[in-house]
Amino acid sequence: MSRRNPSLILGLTLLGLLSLLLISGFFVDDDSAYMNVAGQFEPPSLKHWLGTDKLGRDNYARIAIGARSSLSIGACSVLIGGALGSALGIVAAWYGGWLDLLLARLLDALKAIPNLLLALMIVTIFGSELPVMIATISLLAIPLYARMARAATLKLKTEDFIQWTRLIGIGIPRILLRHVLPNITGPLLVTASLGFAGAVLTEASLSYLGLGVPPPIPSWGRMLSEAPLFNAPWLALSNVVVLTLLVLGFNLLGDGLQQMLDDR
Amino acid sequence: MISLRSLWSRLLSALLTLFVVSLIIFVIFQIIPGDAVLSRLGLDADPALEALLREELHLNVPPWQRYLLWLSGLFQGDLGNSLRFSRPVSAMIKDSLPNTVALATFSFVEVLALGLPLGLWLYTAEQESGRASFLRFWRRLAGTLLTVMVQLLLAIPVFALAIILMLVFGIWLQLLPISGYVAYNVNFPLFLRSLILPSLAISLPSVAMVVRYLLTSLREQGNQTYARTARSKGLSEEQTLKRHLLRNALIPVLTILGVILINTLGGSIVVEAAFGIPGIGQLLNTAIRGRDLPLVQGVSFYIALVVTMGYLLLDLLYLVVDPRMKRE
Repeated sequence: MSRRNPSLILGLTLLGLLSLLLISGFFVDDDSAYMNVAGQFEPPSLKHWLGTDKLGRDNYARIAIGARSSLSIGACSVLIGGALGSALGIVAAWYGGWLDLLLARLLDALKAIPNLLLALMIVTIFGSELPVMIATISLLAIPLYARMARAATLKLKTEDFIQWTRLIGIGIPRILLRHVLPNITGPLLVTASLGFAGAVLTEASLSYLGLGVPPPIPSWGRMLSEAPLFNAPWLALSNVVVLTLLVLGFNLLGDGLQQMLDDR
Repeated sequence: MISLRSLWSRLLSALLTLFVVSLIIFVIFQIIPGDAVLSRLGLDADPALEALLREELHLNVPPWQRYLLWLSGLFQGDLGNSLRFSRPVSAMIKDSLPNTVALATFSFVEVLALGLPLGLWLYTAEQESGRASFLRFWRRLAGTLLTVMVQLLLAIPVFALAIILMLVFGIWLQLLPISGYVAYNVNFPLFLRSLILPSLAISLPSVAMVVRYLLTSLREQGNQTYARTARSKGLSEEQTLKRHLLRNALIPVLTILGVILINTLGGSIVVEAAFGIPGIGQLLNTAIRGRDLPLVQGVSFYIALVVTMGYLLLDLLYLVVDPRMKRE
């Protein structure tokens, strides 16, 4: 790193803290997240760091366990959506012709429908079990990466060194994997860090609307929508803080990565 | 002159987009398990009635014919009838539209009134360095706080922001209502009051976005040679900003403003649900939950229409605002 990059450092720190939260979820007493171990709506105390909810369940334990579904949805959307989307974008941009035209049209059309709307429709039809949710959100992430990969590949295609690889007769799969992909990983990583946050938000919005991962599995969005503001504000506040810090972490990571790319 | 050909091609691609959107939504809803007619009439329905309803919903023809029938109805301004409410979809959209438009207008005014001045102020605070150190300290502190706020607002999910606003202004300070939307034709002052918090929930993240874009854009323009020329011929920082930088810096900000307006006009499912505003977002939410295909199709088509036409208009606006675009 040639220049100071506070965004990257801050972003990684925040995400590190969230990983600690996630890991601590495996050490909390599982029962406290599902059964009432205390009175309802107890304010934060040494025993219950973030208070208890309407059923007397420990709020910290529920947030830490809720991190599992949120983060696994984010990670899967980056891995599945990112892989499929990038592959689609690279191949379409490379071959051009009707394939590229079709993809470009489809991507344009998808831009006109909000992601949350599509997610709502799919989840209403297929239910909201965790695997369905992961599949839905990963599928909906494909356009994001396809758009990015397509644009980057189109630009790269005209570069001399890529022209060279074609000239000396390297096979196309090899060109795409060994020469195109490594050169667009930078922008793809920036997209991925924003996409991760976007996926978590989509899941949280769905569960806020009551269509998320079904209970009793703790889910951040549903916990937020069920939190009574009047008698137990700490429930809503702790959820808001966790969600915001997660998105902030990924935003800053994206900014930091972008700056690293610009510096190079 | 804007070339007529590029105008045509843009219009055509917008129409194509709308076509593809309607196709996507139609296909998704073909997958729904269950029978719409039986779910409405019950299992022991009168067969004659059942046949009549099947006919009305065009369920007696293959899906592709049903799609074409929907499309031809669309050209006559007929979006069909809602399954659950037995009302024309277009009438239901018309009923919800004023509420969403009011919310969007409110939010957009807030974005303009807060975003542009804050962005400008942050830029000038950044530029000034020769002031007394006491003043400088407070300005820098305020600048830093504002920057942190911007980052936080860009990160906070809309529904989380809605909850924070309810908590602070509705419950702790008891200043504003947190629910109970009042229509404009019922009680105008109460209508305005009930819109403040929902519109802030929508606008504040956009304000942050505008501040960020304006700042980046101003910094970029401030480093250009023409800006240095302006300063070296003796213009003060303020004059340079007003006469030269601002106009150029606003061009990219225009895009983000356009996108914000387009998005708010499509209705926000989450904010409308949080504050109980009977707008387009709520309508869509009820439609999807009730698996009310004609209503979902109609409302999503409305949203897609706003988005595509909005982007088209934005393109045209650019040709007017930025003469360099015409040369392409």
